[in-house]
Amino acid sequence: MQSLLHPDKFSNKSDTEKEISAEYSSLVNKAYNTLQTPIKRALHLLSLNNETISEDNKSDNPEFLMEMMELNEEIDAADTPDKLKSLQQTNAKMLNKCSDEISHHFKDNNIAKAKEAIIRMKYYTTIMRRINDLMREKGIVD
Amino acid sequence: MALNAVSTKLLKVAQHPVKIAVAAYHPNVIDHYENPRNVGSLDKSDTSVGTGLVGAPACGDVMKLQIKVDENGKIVDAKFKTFGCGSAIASSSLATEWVKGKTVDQASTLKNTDIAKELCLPPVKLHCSMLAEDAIKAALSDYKIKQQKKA
Repeated sequence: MQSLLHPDKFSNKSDTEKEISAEYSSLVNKAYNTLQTPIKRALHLLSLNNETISEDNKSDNPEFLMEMMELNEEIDAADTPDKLKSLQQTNAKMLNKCSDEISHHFKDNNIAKAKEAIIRMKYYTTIMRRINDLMREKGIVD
Repeated sequence: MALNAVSTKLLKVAQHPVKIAVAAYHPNVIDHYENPRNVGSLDKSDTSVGTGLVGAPACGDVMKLQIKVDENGKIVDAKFKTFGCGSAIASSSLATEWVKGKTVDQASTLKNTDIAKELCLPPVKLHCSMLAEDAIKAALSDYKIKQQKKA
């Protein structure tokens, strides 16, 4: 698609054509990015079902929140590259599990269940970003 | 030539990315973020301690806020632990400062708008102060439930 739409292909064309190319090419980038990133894909599917995760959507699952708190504390306490790496692996597994659950619920058209799983995925995604940031900071390569 | 002008501009922007990010926060937020007050944990099995645990699904932040209440219903200590953005940390830090020394009833009147005002939070960050209010409410209710069970 980009081989057809990319602005480089339109450098000799009219301004209108340049504008259209720029707009559509950026849309294709955005779409690709959404499809490629599990959490973004899930949130998009949710929005297609007229559901969103709003800021005042409180997760009232204390056990899960406790788990998230403890996971974050474990990350704080991880003082060796190996510990961080193992946390990263465990977390990647959790993300995959959420992913599978979400696609399963969407297939069953169970939007409420899908939303629950997406919220969990959101927390794991935030944790993943923390781990990755820390690893980058400490110069740990996997 | 035109390209050169553009790339010079881009380079100039790239030289100060950190500065730009920091400037987006109000000094009050940065103060609480850099010197957070009352970070830590209290013993959650203690009957005089109330624990509030809340989360923001939209951003994946988690916040734990705990209060310790004496026999006269006065909050003598407050601690928090927040994993989230600067505004969430600042909001919970400020909240612990404010509830200390207050009675349980006074603390329950604390509004997120007060926190947001003090920290000059922009509209997109208002939910952080709401999270702090919810955390206090949750801690107070946990304390009350514990007291009822004891009685």
